[in-house]
Amino acid sequence: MHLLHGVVLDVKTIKMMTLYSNSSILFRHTIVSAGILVGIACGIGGCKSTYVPPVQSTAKRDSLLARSFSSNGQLQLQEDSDVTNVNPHVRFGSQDNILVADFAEFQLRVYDAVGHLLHHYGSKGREAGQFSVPLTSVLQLSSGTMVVTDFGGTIFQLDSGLSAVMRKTETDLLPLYSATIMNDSTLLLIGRPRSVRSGEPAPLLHLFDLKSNRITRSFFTAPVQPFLAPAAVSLGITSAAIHADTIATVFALTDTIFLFNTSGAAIGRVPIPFRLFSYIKHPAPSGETVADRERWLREISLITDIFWLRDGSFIIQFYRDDEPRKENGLLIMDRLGRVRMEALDTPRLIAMDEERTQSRFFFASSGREGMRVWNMATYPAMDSSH
Amino acid sequence: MEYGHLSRYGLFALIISATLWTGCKSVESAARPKYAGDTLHLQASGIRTRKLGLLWILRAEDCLTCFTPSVLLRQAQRRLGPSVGITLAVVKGDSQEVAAYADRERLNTDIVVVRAASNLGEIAKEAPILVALQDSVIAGSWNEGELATLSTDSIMAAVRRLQANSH
Repeated sequence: MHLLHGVVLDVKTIKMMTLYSNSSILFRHTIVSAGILVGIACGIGGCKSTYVPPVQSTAKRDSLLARSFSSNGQLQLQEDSDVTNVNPHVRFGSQDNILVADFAEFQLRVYDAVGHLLHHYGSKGREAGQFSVPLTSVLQLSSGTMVVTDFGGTIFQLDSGLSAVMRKTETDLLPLYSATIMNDSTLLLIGRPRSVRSGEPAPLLHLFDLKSNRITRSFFTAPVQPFLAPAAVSLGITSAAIHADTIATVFALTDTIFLFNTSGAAIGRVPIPFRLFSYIKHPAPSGETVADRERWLREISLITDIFWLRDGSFIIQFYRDDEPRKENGLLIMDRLGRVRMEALDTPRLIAMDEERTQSRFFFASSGREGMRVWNMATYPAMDSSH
Repeated sequence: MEYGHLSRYGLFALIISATLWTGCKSVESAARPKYAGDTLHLQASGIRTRKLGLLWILRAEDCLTCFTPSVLLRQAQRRLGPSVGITLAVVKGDSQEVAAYADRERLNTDIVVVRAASNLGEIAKEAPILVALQDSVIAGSWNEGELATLSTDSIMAAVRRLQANSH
């Protein structure tokens, strides 16, 4: 059984997406773009709310994590004069290699299973061997070919040694949040078609045929309440995981797992019974001060990732941006919606490797080295059945 | 939340940009450096940098866009080593937030919060990364704020010029 994990985004990516997801003036004239979007945003009224954030003690969180995961050591990624891990989007390739597309560094990397740097390719720029748009995912086909996506909707294909770009394809997606391999001839792309006018419902999942080099089907228009429609555009983070012949997807603002078959037909929904998730209750305040709007923003949680485990259960990662504190949360539930664990203030779950006999998880360590030094864990915890 | 992060930073950026545009008229052109190699005294802005280093004047939009010069600063940090420090100046910002941001960006920086924008805003618009020596700066790039043109090589060249002049 082949399992693929979801997409990992972090606060910086979310902010970037928020700014650009609805802009036709991409990657230039930042202030102008922001101003246009603010203008759209300011057209919506709102009201004040009294907010009491969910609370969970550190001890309880640690206890919950320890009951779910078994610590399995640390992985330190090698860095050199060209390489710094800042915002890695991680997948796994052949021979347990770790594939990194670094959104902040415009760079691809291949590490071996113990963190030795094998190859790296790219930097920010417009010359040969450089990328001008941040990278959002890297995948490896069974042929060894590396498939890379960028935020602007371009798909690159490189050789396994990352020596050169062999093929480059532009898509209609902007942003292109991420991609996942369905099979060797089909990718699942996650993104918003730029041809859909702002404010109109847009399909977020797309099947991309690698042979014909085009999108063959688009589906999954995120259902949100009308008052959330504008937010659904700029915060339209979507994550997907594939388990055998089923796609599970989550949308930032909707507490539901949506299930599709590999043709894109809807086959079910599973509610996510959050207790610690902060829902949007009101539109953003309009005509208020910046501080009011910041306060509103800090009140809400966003779903950022879904991971689908071998035993059929799901891990949902969610996030709240309470500056300067960035708070991730994790919820583990089974296919029937029964919660096994929910915790706040958890370390960021960077990636999941399902290719081994036991699921391995990679969490960012604390501190500024967190994206270079990962804490490894297995699930379920060794003693969880006792 | 369209207007969540978006409006929070977007509005902030809009206000800043409007201030900058209107402020252009009030800043005497002679008060700021125009060409690479020109210097500007920073004392009036309350900034103190390390003896030799890079000064990044953080703008609101730098915190959230992929155009942030942090990628260039990381390159410089890797190539120049710890002897050349980086100072991050933010106008009326929250030092805790900026410190968290610098941590996420994996930048080893000193952080300075400047109370008054003075003419820093005008400088930041055009060249947010500057090479600094004591209380003066030398322009890194003055090409219409086009960050892509501010290569690590140009920073290195400016640092070398400064080093030569300081000996």
